[in-house]
Amino acid sequence: MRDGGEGGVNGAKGEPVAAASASGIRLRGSNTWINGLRRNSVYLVFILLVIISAQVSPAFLTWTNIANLLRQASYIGLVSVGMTFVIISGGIDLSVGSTVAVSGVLLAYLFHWGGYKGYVVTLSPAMPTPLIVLSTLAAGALVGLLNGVLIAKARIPAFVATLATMVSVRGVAYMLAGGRTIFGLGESLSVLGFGNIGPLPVPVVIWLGCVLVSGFILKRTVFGRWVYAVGGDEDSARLSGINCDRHKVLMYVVAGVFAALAGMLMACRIDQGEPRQGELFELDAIAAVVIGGTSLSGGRGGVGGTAIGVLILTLITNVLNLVGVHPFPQQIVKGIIILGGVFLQRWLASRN
Amino acid sequence: MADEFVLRMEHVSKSFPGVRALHDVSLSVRRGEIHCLVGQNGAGKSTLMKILGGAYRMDAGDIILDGEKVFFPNPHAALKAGISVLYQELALNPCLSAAENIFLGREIKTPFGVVNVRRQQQEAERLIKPFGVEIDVALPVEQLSVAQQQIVAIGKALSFKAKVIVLDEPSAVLTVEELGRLFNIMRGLREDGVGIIYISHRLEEIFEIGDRVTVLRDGEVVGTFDVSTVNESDLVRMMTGREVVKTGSRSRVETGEPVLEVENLSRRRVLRDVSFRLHAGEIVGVFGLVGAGRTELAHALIGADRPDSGRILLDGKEVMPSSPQHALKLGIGLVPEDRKRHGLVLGMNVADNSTLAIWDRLARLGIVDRRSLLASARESVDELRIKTPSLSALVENLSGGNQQKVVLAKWLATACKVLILDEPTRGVDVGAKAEIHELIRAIASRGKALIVISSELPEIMSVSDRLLVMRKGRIVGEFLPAQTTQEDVLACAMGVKVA
Repeated sequence: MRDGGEGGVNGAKGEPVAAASASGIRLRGSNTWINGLRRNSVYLVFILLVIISAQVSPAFLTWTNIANLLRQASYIGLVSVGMTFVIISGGIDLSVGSTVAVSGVLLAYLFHWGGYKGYVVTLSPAMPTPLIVLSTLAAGALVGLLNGVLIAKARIPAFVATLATMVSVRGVAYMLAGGRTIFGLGESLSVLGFGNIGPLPVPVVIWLGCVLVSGFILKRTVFGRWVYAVGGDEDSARLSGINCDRHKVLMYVVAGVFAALAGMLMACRIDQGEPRQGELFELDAIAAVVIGGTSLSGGRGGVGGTAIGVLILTLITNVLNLVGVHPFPQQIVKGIIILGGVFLQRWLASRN
Repeated sequence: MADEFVLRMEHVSKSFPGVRALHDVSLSVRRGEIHCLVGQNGAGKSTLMKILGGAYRMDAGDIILDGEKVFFPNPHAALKAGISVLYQELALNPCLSAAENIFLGREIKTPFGVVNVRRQQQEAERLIKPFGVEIDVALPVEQLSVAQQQIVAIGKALSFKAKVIVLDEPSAVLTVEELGRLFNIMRGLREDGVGIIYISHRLEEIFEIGDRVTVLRDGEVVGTFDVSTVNESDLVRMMTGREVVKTGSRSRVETGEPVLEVENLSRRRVLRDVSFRLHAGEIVGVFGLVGAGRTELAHALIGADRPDSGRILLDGKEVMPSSPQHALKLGIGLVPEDRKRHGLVLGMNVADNSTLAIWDRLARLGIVDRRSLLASARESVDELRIKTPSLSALVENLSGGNQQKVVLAKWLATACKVLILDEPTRGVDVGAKAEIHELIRAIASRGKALIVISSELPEIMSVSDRLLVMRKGRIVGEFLPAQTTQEDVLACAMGVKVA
């Protein structure tokens, strides 16, 4: 009796299976379509803004302005690359702005090697420039390591842990600088602040290089895919033998190094170690990541979208400055455009 | 020394705070054996498998693999030793593709740690092919259907060159045909000398595929038997510790004014000309194969989807629910299928959950009257026999069956005239199932009109007064369960003529 029934089911189930495979094909088509649109929607917003900007200000499309815009974008851009790693892995890092400050100050401090009296006494003979640069990056990594250990080992929520380090690390920056600004970084580093490679400023080249390399790492390497695995579903990642805690720690180290790199390049640009540098960078970076289509809940997104997100944010400020909008209403417009960009993306993503 | 058994777990005990999950459990699996593990929810099956898989640590006992004592500090160690476990939940990573999921943690690499995407996808396709289902292995698995995801998860579990493979409830979402293919693959692995531990709530599967069966009850082994020496009712008796009388079907033909009338409801491609009536105190079952339009019907009735045409009459008055909230206000409620996601607030306690839908009624000036809330919750708990240590216990700590009762309590407390129950016993063990069926009848006898949607034919036959069968968006048959057979209903649902 039972057998008869099941035999019947078997016969008839050919139908749903066929339907499933048909829908598989349809899914495949619609998926690339959605993904294409989703990715394009960031670009779409960006291109739209470029066109509008070119219309409202003739100065916008000059090379001087574009190079300037790219340079401004590159600092936040580098911070955002690290932030993308952290957010895809399911975390958040509020301390990056302070890391920017502490690394800039540290760079200047190491140059003067304690001999600083409010003006340039001597440049440090004790440390060669490459070592100073590496030490600064290592300091960023150290902040990241602290964040990571607090989050992955001590199980403190990322928001709280990095909020605490954000406050403390800013304090370290002030302490190091003695509450003042350390002026003068010397000749050897000025290329990082003022140099060009081809038509592009050095920090822009570094930024774009980091975006390309990070994009490849995230999409194609085992290390990168594990970032998505940890952010998408930590339990399943752990069951697959991935050391999730170590990977999470590494994400914050990556974010710290990128923030230190940004801080260093900014210090070179202004030729000083300034402890108030990088304030609210963390929020700009998070905004850029979100505009770029990376999900705050982790597991989805990429560094390319983030780069466009940074460009969008910078472009808005740039063009509003060009047309002479007062800074206060600028902020209002910026907020509205962030919301608008995210709404547009969601609207496009939901249309399938 | 060559051991007849590939795996022996001996005298395993495990306690969680306040609960003894396993006590002196021994289980041995031969080479080339399909060893079934049965027991009610909470009997300790999953705990035992998590210990074997290295996800939990046991308090006492030994695991002997291939004659050697082993210890697994983490899941990875177990996997490396040759134990592959398909857990009931958390099997896949939603954001990664099927291929990436299968090879997660052991990626096929080119030098410098770069993933060889193409080879991974080819290998994944090769693994999935025996199931006869086309799956786009490059797509994030969250975009696959539940059945496709399950096949990917099974494919992954089988792909490790494991000595012991554990499949914890793999069959729930598979079609009969896919299940048949899974069984064929399992038989192939048995030939190769792999030990397979198979867990299922569906006892008939055990008799189809199993060699031996071990019964767990309350964290202890009742016994291990050759499958040929026991039958279904033996197993149920051992699992529950008592005789379960199969609840008979009931049939009442309702007359009088209907509570709900549905006339010619249609929605493009999914619902065609659906008409039926529902009376107070009546339980109408809706049965159909996957894609027949059952869920779509429920969604149209509660306003989650707008029908293109047709009428819904509630107590003789035409209504058109525009949203689930609106439907609820009108008196039509849907008890969702996925209780953990849509039915309960897991982090809230029993009292709050069971009264969640009527807080506004219990409140004065926006402040919930704690005393009447507790009184109402107490009433539900007593009436529905919810097993909970206290009203302030968190629902996430209750068993599946008791969670489902809390969900029912919540809806019972509302003033809904019509309740739609979507798969009310999914993931609930045999004993609790019968209890929930009883509760459904009790709810109906209070004058509520019920629609029960289920893909389990025996369940819907025993619980409904009247049975509607759907196929391709239409109602293609109406049956009185007492006067029909499962075969007739199934044939109708599949559009097959029976002689």
